[in-house]
Amino acid sequence: MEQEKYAHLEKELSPKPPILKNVIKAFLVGGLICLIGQFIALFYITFFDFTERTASNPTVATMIFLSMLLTGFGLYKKIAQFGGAGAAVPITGFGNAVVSSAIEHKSEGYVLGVGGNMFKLAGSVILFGVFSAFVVALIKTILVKFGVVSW
Amino acid sequence: MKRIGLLFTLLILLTGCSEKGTKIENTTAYNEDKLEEVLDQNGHVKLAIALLHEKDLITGIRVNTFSRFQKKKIASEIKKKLEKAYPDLTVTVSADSKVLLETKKLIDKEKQDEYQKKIDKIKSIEKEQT
Repeated sequence: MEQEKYAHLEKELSPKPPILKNVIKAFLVGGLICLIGQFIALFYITFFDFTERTASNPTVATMIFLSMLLTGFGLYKKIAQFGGAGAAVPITGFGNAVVSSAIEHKSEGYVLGVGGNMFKLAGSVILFGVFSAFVVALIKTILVKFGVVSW
Repeated sequence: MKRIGLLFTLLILLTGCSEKGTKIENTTAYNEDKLEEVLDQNGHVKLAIALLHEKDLITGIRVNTFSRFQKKKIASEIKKKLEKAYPDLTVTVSADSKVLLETKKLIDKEKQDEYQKKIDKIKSIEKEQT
């Protein structure tokens, strides 16, 4: 009973998060990051031998590289504070997670500090990314085998 | 500040609808009417650039914005029709903007003796999966 009371009280007293405002900010920042990504993809398509399908790999690499640089200079923090999920969900958030934890644990040494903690947060992204890709591929393979869809 | 914002919005909106139509370059003796008919008949295609050279027919298409999700299907449909119309030629149809871009560049800038080499290159990068 006591706990319920406390939860009720806390809900009443804490200020309401400006959800709509946050959503709009996240939409704008996320959209802006994707727009930059689109321009980079267009750059690779126009000046190198990449097609729309193959340009995604170098684009992702470039975006991660840029976000890692921005994290190192302390600029990505500001973007993330403003944009919230809009800065965390695109692939740039992944680069930010890797580098920020590497910087954070630098004082503990390169092997146990940087090496051991670098993928603290990003590790779960990689694990579940690979796993969900496997599951999706499995489902698609089964569907193709039964002739529901084609490749 | 507001005016600059308005200007950019207008620019972005206006550049959205630029090129349209069908452009065909033919260096062979084959009749291109059928090709034009197939491309014009398809309501999804907004820009098409085609090149007939020796044994190759290469077509880059750009589909309407809301048809983009089915662009592979549209391209393969057009390919089937063209293969029926030109059974002797190797037909390549792609909705990938790279093919469109390179074909356009080829027609506008290169000399005819360079065509074959470039066509082979477009075909090879079009096939790449990753």
